[in-house]
Amino acid sequence: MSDTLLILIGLWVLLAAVWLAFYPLFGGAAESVPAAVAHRRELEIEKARLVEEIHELQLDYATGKLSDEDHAVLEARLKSRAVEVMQQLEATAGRSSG
Amino acid sequence: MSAYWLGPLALWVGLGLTLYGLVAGIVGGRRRNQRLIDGAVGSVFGAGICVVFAYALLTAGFLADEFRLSYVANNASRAMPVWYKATAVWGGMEGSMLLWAFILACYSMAAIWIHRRRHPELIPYAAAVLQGIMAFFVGVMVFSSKPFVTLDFTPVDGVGLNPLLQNHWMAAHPPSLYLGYVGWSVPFAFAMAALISGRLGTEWIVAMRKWALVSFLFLTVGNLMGSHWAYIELGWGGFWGWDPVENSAIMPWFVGAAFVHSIMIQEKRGMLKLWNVGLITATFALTILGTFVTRSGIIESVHAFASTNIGVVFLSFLVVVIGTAVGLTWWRSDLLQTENRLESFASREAAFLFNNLLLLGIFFAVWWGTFFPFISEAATGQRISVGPPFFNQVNKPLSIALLLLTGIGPVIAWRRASRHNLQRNFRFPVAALLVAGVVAVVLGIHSWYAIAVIAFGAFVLATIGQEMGRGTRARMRSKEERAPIALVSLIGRNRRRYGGYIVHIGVVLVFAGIAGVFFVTEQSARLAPGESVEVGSFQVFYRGTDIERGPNYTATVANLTVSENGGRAYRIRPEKRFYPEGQEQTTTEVAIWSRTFEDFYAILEGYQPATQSVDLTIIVNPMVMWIWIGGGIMVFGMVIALTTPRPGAPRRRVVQPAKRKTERVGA
Repeated sequence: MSDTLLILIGLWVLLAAVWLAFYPLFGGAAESVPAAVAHRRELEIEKARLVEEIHELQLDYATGKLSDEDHAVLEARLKSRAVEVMQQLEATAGRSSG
Repeated sequence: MSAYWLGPLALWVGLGLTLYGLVAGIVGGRRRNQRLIDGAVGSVFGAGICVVFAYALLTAGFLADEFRLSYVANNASRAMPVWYKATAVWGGMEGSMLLWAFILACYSMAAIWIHRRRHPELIPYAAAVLQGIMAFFVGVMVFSSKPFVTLDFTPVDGVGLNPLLQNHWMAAHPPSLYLGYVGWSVPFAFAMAALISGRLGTEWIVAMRKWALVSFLFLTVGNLMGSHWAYIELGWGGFWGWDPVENSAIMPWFVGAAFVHSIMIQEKRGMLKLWNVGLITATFALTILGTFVTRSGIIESVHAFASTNIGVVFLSFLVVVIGTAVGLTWWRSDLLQTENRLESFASREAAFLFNNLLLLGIFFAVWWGTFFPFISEAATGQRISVGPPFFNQVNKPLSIALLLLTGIGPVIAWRRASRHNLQRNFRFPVAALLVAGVVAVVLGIHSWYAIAVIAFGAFVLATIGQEMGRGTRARMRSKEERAPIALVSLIGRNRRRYGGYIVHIGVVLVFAGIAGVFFVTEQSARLAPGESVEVGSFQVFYRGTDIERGPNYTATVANLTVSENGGRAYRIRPEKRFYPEGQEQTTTEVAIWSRTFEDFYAILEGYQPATQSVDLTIIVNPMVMWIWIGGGIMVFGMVIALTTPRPGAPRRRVVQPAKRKTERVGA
């Protein structure tokens, strides 16, 4: 590859890099993630995390690392939070479809 | 017309973009201005492209023997194999800065791309922090440590790479170590983003646990490669010399290990929030400190680059990093309150906390010993160094306690362990501990450390075996699976947990390998051709010497045959290499006959051409192989843990059989 070609490619790459950083300032209307969509995404992540937590809790219980009492308390707490999250998810789904 | 002027231009453009991204991220995040936020995200990719381009250009310079570039002329030569030319890019300070920035660019682009939609509230600030870190490294290359300086003339040949670095382990060691070092920038950036945005729940922890594990994995691999290189290349028979640069690589490993453990407590119990922010800040700061030690020349080391004034720049950056983190933590201290208190010292939380304290204790001992010469010189004007005995003496009891906790942590109950829990979970492991300890004593082992490693190692392995056995049985009951399938499914469904247990198995084996140093046999001998010497149960016969030519060196090679108790003889060939070009350096290439339970290690110390006799040092190193095997198992366990699907990721659907009992456990 000749040096001239390399220089041309290099300059093109650097211009592309600058464009990547500045085009949002000069582009069309910036689209932010709607708050409702962001909230729903957070709830979905929270739900998945709670499912993982409940699974871990059951494994801890099965392998003798939780007393019956602690297991009952923690399971109730996690399940109650999971129900809360799922209700919120249903509510956001209802709002977006309505 | 040469194209290499594009290198500095790319760095200048990159610097401009990082500074823009830093400001755009903070301002955009605070004002919720999406255009500025998008600009900050775009700047990560823009600056990343500039740095990747600069790195590719410098590599091209090495491969093309472009000696007009001063850095290429000082670190490469025509005779060097192509592989070493490509790796010589990071053989000196300027190139290692560029490698750092290159890896940071790749990490930053990947992290911002992956999390831009999942964690939109954190992204502007995370991008800003990553750009701030990048601005520092690119700034160093623009103003101080310039990789693209050209000479007024073109030398016929270059000086060549330091021969000690012309080893495939050393070629792979820096990138791996840097992947570990630089990787901590991502969790640090998200921790700072969590502080700035005030979102200090489990969100950033969950988002960053894999990034932390990736960094920890590479740091582990980097340290293993480095110690393997020291073992086979430095020719003193050991694998860890407590050298300041080695210590700089291991210090973030200890604090990073503490972080990887303590984030579990925040996830499960909402505790240690402040502690975790502190740990990730400390880990990241230690990666900068490690670079500072290597590059500043304040501490003498076989690994350190020449003394330069760049140390002041690094120290200033370190102050900015710590100052910013402390300031933000102070500002958000009300959001860092713990959600639960420690209820009992006999609990999983307490075991993890003690694990953290021990890891930090070991870190502090290493830090103190490493910086003591610097501290003593500042205080008294006299530079006093502490050697390996200090590190060994302090770290032995701490590491043994840590090994014990490696067994206790995974099986003790959360919140408060009852007597029933303690009896049920510790009866078998304690029995294993006692049996192993008694067997070690009966076998005539006198070192308390070795006895403790054997006993506590058995304890850890017993807890892991018990855990896997119980989990498998629970799954067999609930899913009606056979034992092997249940075990594989158990690990597959709980990769993070069981990956961690596999890492612990590796830790036990590494400890066993380290304990082998108490049983080393060493002997020196001068042999003429046809003579032999006995070392322990080994017979060494010297046949004569060859002079051989490599691509860029001449080697004096001693031909030895080794046999054990008169058994089959093996040929081994320790060497001394002379690199005539540039630095005119001699290196020692040891010969190792690696076996499962001991290494036979031969060093050619000298050669007398008149009599053709050789001076040899022979070392029998027990258990060294287990360090590499244990390290490999640790890495394997981390890879398993890393393959855990992220929360919310779609799982592969499994067709369930029609006949199923109601599940009792979720194993």
